[in-house]
Amino acid sequence: AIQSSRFSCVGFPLAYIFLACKKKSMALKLKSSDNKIFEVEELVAVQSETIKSLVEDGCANNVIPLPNVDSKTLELVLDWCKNHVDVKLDEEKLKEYEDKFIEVDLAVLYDLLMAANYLNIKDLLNRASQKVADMLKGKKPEQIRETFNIVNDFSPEEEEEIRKENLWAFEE
Amino acid sequence: MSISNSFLPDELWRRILEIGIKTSGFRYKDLCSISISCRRLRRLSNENSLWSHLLSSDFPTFSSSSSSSSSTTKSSTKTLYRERFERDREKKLAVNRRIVLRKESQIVEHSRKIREIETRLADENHKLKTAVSELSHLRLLRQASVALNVWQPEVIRGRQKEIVGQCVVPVESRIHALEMELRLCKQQILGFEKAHKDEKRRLDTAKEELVSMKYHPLRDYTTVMNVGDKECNIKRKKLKRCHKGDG
Repeated sequence: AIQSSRFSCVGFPLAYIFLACKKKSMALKLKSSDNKIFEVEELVAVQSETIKSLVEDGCANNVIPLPNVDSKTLELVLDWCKNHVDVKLDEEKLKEYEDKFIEVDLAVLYDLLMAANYLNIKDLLNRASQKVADMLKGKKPEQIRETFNIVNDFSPEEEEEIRKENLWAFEE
Repeated sequence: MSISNSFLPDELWRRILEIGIKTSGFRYKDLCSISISCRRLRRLSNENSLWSHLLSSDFPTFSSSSSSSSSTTKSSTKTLYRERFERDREKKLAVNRRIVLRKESQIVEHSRKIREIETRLADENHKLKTAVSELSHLRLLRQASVALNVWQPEVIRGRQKEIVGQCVVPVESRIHALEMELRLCKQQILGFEKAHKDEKRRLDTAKEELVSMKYHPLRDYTTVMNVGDKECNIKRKKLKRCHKGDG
């Protein structure tokens, strides 16, 4: 407990500490890439298949390091997990939460995708992927480049060739 | 830019495209637009698994017979889709035209609504103006009637008496009613202005979507190219001019 208080920071939600104190046996400590410790209920954390398998293998007695997730992203991810613990939650409310949750900048969206992939949280991974897909849909190639900051790496000759190659889909 | 698409590994882009096909309703056009954007997305969007999904959903009768031919021939599923598409061209294009038409009628509808809101807004503004002018007149009247109660030179008193005398409705209640109406008008105008803004936004989105629907990769590309050429020409001319200046 002393160690955790040394590591604890203002940044992480107090609710987690209270929960962790109440049910000590159920609490897990996660360490983000920038060395912040998050104490969470096991029930919340094991929505990540990665963490779940660590727990099952008995590797979760101390702090679980998550070197690929920074604290900003981890906080978001844990918020998602917290809201998905109770599956009996009103479906409409959950959808509302998810839609609001996923309205983020592209950089954050990418971070979430990477984190969900690494932590293996299926529903978050799917929701974030769907968000990107929705952003792709109905866009012209130029708009796709602009939206996703994609550098056009074709030479002009190649590009013309590729455009011709895909012409069939656009002709009227 | 710190963000770049290389940030996401292939497997995530694969998942995104797959979800796009399965739940975001990607059509062949979407995959082709994606494939024009850059090398990496071209490679990923051309993958067979994506196209076979489209193939079986767009040409359900075809998929069963294709499985054998696709294994024997080397051509990709995208090519297969294209062949099937071209055979079925008229039907597909009719679907596409219908989608475009629907969007166009949506745009007409948005424009009609905007005009309607504009007329109502103008009406309301007119009402507001009339109410304001009547109100200012009544306030003058009230001032005059107050002034009657104090001592005035006879000439002014006479004129004020005349103003007050012309009034048939009780001034106070009329002023009150007008003030109410004014508030209501302002509220209405605010509402209409917001509706106008919302409708305008919807119209702009629909227009943007229509442009995307009518996108043509070569026609639009050559215009882009031409602009580039022009810029080059201008630069060249500038250079020439510089050289001349030097000479």
